[in-house]
Amino acid sequence: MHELSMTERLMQLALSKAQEAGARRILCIHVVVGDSSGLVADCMSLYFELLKKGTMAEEARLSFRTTPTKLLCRDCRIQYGPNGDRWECPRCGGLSVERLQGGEALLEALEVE
Amino acid sequence: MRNIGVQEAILSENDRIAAQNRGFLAQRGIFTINLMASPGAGKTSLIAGSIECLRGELRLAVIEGDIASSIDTDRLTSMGVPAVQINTGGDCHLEAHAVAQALSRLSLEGIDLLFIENVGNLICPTSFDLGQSSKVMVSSVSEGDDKPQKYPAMFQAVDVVILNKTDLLGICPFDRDPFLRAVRQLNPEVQIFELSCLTGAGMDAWTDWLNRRVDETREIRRPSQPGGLS
Repeated sequence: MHELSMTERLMQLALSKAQEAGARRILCIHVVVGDSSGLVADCMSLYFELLKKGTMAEEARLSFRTTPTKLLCRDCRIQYGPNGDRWECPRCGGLSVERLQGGEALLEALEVE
Repeated sequence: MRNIGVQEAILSENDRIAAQNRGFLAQRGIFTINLMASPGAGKTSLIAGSIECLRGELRLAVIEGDIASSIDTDRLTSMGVPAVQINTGGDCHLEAHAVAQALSRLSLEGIDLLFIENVGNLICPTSFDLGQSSKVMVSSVSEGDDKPQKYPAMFQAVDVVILNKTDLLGICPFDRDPFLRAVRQLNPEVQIFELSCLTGAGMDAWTDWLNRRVDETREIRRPSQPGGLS
């Protein structure tokens, strides 16, 4: 839902990291997005195409790696993945769960020249 | 071609500005709430009710976030409270830099308690730290009792859940006990207040909590130093 602002922040971060490294052009931006972060990769790609114009990332592509959501039941101490959008523990049916992974949104690496 | 490893959160810049906001507010001893809810749950009514209940006890200020309009700010300003509006122009949440700008426009002299009313949305605001002392969400009886199951990340992210519109219990289909159980399961540390902004029932426990938190914030206030947001 907030892909435009996330893509703007991603662009700012990528451009500043590339400049710091003395790069002339960014060829690829590698992003890690958790599958329960609420971010839609296609939507970010669409905004990226608009935002990259006139920058050193003009010809860059955006590459996504999706990390699956991992949940921990605090009562049963088992790790599991959600069932669709539902986070209940498959063993006890409870919601006393902690998200270990899946909410993240990271700039992982840049390919530059 | 070469690779540059980064491994940095996309929102690291937002987090940096949020930390500045937090320091700025802590230096002034201001307890700050990031208030989140879906549209129509009663965020502005909670702020208005808190202003009424705390009149003469605490000095409040408000930052209002909305996609458009200054309806909420006008309502609160007419109650004699300093309030500034952020119009996000389409963004579904507030970000730390917008709050930093709003703080520079707000007269904070003598203020004890600052409400930041986020844009009505149960998803996006959880991702953006604003520099608040506490995250509070409002869920209302008329929205139904399934919100914790549908929006677990929001219920896990907050320090306080307020169940508003309790005057509608028995009128709207809402199973109170399973709702409260789901909230506590998702977030064992959470503080829950059940109240009605319309009738005022339950407001005392909420404003007592606010008073206690304001007192704690004053006690840990660092020696005041001149300076502003950079």
